[in-house]
Amino acid sequence: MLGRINDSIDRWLFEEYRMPAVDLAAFRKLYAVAAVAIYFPRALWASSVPASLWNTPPGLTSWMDGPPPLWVMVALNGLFLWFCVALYFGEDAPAASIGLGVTLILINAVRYSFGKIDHDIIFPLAAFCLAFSGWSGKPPVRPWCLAFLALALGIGMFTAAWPKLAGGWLSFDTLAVKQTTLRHELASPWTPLGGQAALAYAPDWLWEVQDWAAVLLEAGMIVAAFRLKWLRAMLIVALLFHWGVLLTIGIAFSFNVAVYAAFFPTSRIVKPAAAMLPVAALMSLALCHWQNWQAFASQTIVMLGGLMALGYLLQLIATTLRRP
Amino acid sequence: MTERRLVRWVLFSVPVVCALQWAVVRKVGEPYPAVIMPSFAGDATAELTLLKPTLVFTRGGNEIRTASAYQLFDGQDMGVQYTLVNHGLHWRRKLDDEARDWLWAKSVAIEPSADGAILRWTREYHSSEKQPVCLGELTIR
Repeated sequence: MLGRINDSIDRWLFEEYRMPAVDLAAFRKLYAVAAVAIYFPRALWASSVPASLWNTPPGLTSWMDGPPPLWVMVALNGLFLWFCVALYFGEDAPAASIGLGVTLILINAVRYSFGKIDHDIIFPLAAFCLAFSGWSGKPPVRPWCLAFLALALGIGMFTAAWPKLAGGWLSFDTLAVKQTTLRHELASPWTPLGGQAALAYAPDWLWEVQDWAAVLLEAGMIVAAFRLKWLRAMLIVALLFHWGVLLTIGIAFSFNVAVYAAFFPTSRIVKPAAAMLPVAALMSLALCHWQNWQAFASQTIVMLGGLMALGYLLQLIATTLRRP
Repeated sequence: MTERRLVRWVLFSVPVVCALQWAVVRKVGEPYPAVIMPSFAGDATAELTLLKPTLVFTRGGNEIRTASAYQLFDGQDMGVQYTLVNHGLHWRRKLDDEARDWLWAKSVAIEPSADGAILRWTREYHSSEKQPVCLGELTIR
């Protein structure tokens, strides 16, 4: 019995997530460009915020009395960009990956020391997990790296599902997604058209279905992580879920969507758009001072992910219907 | 130690690390409020559990004492816009926009309860809407 469990664990760790090196390398480039588009520059404003607003959670910045000076944030952002460029070109990919992950976590530690925390840890975590995966394009390819990333994704999603489960999202007396949409509609300066339409027309049973779907998706990811095939199916649904969140609430989970690409044959996506990647990176650098650029880039990433998922589903339906 | 053995050990340490993190967070208290039950039952009421009550924000003689709200200059446009974050409940408003009541809040009150305290605040939804709307309700434990 124990032997069979060990065999299963070994199979999951060392075989299940065996991806071609060409796909890993393509994902590496995609990831580096996404890192620049979503995150550069980040939290340069922090140094000018009064220290009285500094209120850190337990973590890397707990020992500090206030935000660091501007030159620290500029240096961290500079290093982050350097590691992104190195990663894109595959120069010493393990060191570049770890450097990217560390600098992003340090920058985020400062950014999240004023009270608001975005739950984007999966993005820097992906760099750590894949550092030795062979995503430089050179052998050996290590499937366990991707397996750990899948596990991290599953655990992260489960921690999002747990408070929802404990808080009664599955109760028929509450409409949690509707509440969330309404809260954004009330409290945000603008509401996406999707949110306005949903609040105006969606019946309560549809809102309740969304409550269940959100919890099942988040809680199910950890189970799906045990098979690449299951995980891919779950991620297709997740891409549509993030698309829906963007269209109704206006939140772009681009960091998640970018990481999901690791589990798909990314070379097929990147190859036709190979010329677009450097263009996107250069555009991100050129427009990074435009205050809405990062939001635009994030929304674009989520929209593209959603469109690809939709295309895949339509293709699947067409194939199924064509079968005799 | 072979690579495979090391990887197995790392895998087996994952539940231990998760348990430790959970224990530490429980011990020191969550730094920010955990959303326990966002619910909607006909009005705009949200319930949150706050483990570390903290003061907040004053401006122009107005003060809002929520249990855990923070002013945060948001992103790169800090001179124009701020976000008052209450872990899920946040308002954005241009600083030069004085047309509405500050943060639209019409009244803010903390009432004692069996668990600790309940904070409620109301506001008018839009200028066309006359009835104040209960914007939020926080259970503070």
